[in-house]
Amino acid sequence: MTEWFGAKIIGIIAGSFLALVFLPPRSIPGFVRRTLAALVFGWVFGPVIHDYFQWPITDERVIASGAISAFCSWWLMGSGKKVAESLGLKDTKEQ
Amino acid sequence: MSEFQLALLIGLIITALISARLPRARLWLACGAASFVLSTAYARYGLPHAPAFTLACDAALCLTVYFYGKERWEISGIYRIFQLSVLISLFRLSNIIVDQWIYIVALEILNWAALLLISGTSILDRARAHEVHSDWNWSPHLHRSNISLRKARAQDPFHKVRH
Repeated sequence: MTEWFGAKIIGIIAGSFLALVFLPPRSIPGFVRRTLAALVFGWVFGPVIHDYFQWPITDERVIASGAISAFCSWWLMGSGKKVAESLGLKDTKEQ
Repeated sequence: MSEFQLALLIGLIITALISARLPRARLWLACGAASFVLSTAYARYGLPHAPAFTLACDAALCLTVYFYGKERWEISGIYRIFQLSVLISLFRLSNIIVDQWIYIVALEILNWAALLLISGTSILDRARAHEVHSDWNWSPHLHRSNISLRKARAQDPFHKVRH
């Protein structure tokens, strides 16, 4: 899906932007980590989500799948951090 | 201008007059009005993906409140209201809200909620200021959470936390 490069990037940015609105991180390092994770997850799992829902390959659907995967990765990073803190694996709440 | 928009404009002016002493209230009112005018004009001109544009405007406003808000009424009130607005536009984009009228009415309700929150906070603040300068004690008549709306926000925005 290299021909959908632009749509994928727009989707990932849109998903990260939405996630920032709904789930803001606690610090700058947390923001950087979540953004990088959203870029990687959005790129890798965007097509997986697209295939899972069996959407037709259009600009809107590629953007939507990229946004969903980026948003989910952002949310998972925050949830993983909270779980690690609750288990005592991390004692600082920096993210 | 429709009668609903005229009513909203009157509400906005009244809220701006009431909240003259509330810091940043007029700033958020101006930002909300700008977002409303931009998104309404975009939809009126029939440009494509109007809910996406509304979503982007409200999300930008949401982040502005998050970064520059200093008190609880801003973060627990205005920020949450505009988050809901973003969510409603997202539902419209993904066809969960199918009817355009339901979408418009939901956004209208949120706009009024924001106006009521700002004017309510301002009135409570004036009541508390009046309490300081007079013998009559207002506090037992007001809920504690309402009085604490003017306290500093619980958590700083992430760009101010460096560890």
